[in-house]
Amino acid sequence: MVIMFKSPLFTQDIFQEMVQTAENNCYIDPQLHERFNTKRGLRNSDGTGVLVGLTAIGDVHSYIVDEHEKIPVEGRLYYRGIEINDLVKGFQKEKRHGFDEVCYLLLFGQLPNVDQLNYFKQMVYESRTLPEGFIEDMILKAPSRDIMNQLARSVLTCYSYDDNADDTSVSNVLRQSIELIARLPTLAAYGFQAKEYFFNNNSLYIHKPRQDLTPAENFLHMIRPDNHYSELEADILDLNLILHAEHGGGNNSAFTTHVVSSTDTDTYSTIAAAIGALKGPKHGGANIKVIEMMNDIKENVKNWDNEREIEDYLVKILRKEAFDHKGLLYGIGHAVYTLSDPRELLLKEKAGELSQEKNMQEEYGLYELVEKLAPQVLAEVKKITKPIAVNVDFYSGFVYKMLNIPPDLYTPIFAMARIAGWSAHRIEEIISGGKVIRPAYKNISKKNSYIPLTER
Amino acid sequence: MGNQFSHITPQILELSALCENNNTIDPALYGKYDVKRGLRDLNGKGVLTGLTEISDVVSSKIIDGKEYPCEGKLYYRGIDVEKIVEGLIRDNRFGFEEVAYLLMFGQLPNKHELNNFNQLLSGYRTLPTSFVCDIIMKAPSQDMMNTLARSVLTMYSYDDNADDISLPNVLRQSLQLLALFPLLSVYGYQAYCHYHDNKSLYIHPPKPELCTAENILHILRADSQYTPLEAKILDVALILHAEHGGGNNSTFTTHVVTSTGTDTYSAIAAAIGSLKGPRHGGANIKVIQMFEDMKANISDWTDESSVADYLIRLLNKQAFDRTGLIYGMGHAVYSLSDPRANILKKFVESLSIEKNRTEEFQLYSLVERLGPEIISKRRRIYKGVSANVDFYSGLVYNLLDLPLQLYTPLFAIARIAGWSAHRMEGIINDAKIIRPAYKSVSAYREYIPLENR
Repeated sequence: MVIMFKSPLFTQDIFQEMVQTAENNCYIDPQLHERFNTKRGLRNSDGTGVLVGLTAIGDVHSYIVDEHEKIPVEGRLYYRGIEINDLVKGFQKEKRHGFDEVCYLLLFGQLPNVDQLNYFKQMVYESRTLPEGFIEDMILKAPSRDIMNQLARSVLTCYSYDDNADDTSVSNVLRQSIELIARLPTLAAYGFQAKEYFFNNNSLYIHKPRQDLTPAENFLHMIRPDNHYSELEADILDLNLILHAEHGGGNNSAFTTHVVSSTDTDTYSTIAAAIGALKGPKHGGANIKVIEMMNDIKENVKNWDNEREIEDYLVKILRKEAFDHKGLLYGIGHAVYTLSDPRELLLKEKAGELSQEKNMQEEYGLYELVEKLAPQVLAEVKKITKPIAVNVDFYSGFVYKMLNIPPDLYTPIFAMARIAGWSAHRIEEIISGGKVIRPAYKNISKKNSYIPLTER
Repeated sequence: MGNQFSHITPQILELSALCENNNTIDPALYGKYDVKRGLRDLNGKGVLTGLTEISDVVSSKIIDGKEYPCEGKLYYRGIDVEKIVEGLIRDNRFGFEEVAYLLMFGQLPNKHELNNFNQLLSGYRTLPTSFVCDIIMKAPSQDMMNTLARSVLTMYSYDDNADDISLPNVLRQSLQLLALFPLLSVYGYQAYCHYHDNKSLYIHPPKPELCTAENILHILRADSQYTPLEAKILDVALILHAEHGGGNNSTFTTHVVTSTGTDTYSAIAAAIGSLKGPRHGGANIKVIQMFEDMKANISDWTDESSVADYLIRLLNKQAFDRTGLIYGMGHAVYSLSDPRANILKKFVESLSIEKNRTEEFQLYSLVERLGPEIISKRRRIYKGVSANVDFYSGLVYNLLDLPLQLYTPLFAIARIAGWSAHRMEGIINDAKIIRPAYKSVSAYREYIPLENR
């Protein structure tokens, strides 16, 4: 592959000058934001999000209001009004996977009965197969170093294979959404295989998706060279998909879905935009940082049972003296949750079980200790008074590690789950939206005269 | 192509009915919770989301503390666009590149700086054809905006330093996109025509000494011929579409996606996806189609009353696409006038003379005059209505014989300048990820085991 962009012009001083000019002229005095009461980051001054929409799809609960005071509570997450704890316990009790049902619930607003569920599953599973020539043309001939990039590109390519790509009626968008929910795992798996082969010189395995397996089972089937996986492995991946399927309309990728959908553009443009947003390190990818941080802790803490030693090292990290020197503890804290993140609690349970199967109990023990100590350390060092919840990213990376899934696939798996929430929000925007989303940006530059070229 | 994938089966229809029932939110709740729907307040004014120095869209002025509508003005980095265009006409030179420089760097370039800048852009335009073939020829899409977005994402793979969001790197990537958008769009169109419409395929390499507008005409036309006026007016159209504030949907999308720290290609592909939406880009196509219908239904294009009747029928959903809209009229911000429409109009008349289509120009002028009168009589409008830039840009492209499929890509070819400037401003100034709130209005329910449903 020819690498194109190395023009010598970019290394010259002239270019450096241009950069400097840009930097000088693009800086905005932060005080102006206060003066004009700008909703930066679309947040109010107290940090809560500016209220831009209503939704019935997902509800993230982190406090109750008692006599005008906000009191932090154990976090709760509702999918269409049903608490996620109840959903997960329900599936686990019935000993079945639940991601398909969760997709149905999010899209249609109610739990399916047996017939409805079977019908839906059939639709999804049959749609897994990619159109003829797609794999060869789209993935093998143009592999990408980054699976999220490949995923977004593949989604845009699906546009060409759709006879009715631009129709934004609910029925058509629903069809497209179901197809994407079915195909994203296939696209991610193949994108990954192509990358391994073309960039890492590993063997290429293209396993056909099976129509008799659940999404979690099918994904493991496709990415494992020998197609094998254990029941517990599939159970925990299914749980992980369920927990990442939806998280309200205000998280960046869901909001992107709303913004772009409001222009009446096609589903593929919208979902590609959401994938691009999730790719950003401040949104998706947090669990990769957790793994890196934990690897660093493993290397630098001799005794994984020693609370004091762990605490000391965590303080070092916070003081920018260790790890990536950014002063952050990844997986600790959340924009919304206060006392706890319900997803983290559910995942942790299963992670413990899996660590037994994989003989990684010691490492799990270390995670548990860091989970216990980090919030305290963070509160002390950074003088934070509000409660700090350990979030779902803290354990999800560890789960993937135990499943032998490489970091390249962490954010794509997030996308494979969140496509359910994005699709539901897109449909909600189409039905209940209305206007093009168009906020205001205030100009603060002074007026200048035009100067003819010869006089500059 | 996989036909069986595109059908809407009866089962899908059933499910979609279910969807519709359960996805409708009571409109009254929006008022109850004071939701900033569309990120606008009750008067339609945008929620103030950010500050910028890149452009200013002005439609009103404050006199004695009260706000009054005024003739629309558009400022690029504080400089009146009308003055920029006047200056270029006086000097008899092209200006889109200079405007892109102004938007991105915050000041007008001197001769030396402008030369270097043009050199940089030319360097990227004269790429080996294998690059073009690799990126565009691979299964060309039936939609040029889809092709453009896909090409942008493919460019990620060709960039050794794709994810670095430091300013120099993002600037480099932005300049490359600025240089390549015309090629990606036009070659994508030609590849599609060849594969699907069985037309001849010709790929003219761009010329380093030509500006963007000239190059577009040069590579698009089989014989590479164009007149000075044609190139000039296309250049002016690009200048007028280069930037329009931080709040328009595609630029706002750029801000939202950029705030996650993602790469340039992801952010720009998202902006392209937004611009593709009919409620954002593509308005000038609607204008052309509306006029086609009008011309077919009115025998005397100079007869004011026939034209007025037709416009009334449009408003009454009795003509054309029956949406009740007169395309090319009105704007989210401008009221008394859209300065871009006024600037463009001056050139359109000359071009219509060159092309021998003055009667058509007269019809457009007539509709421009009658439209606002008729609309204000029949619709309750809170602010003035005037012809917007789409009203004349469609006619310009039509007179230039540009294919309809390239209208919105042309918008992107210009707007990449604004998107890039805003992305860089966002990277420099905004550390927080954009994350508003959505309030849940669903009732709480019990989980019911499967066999009990």
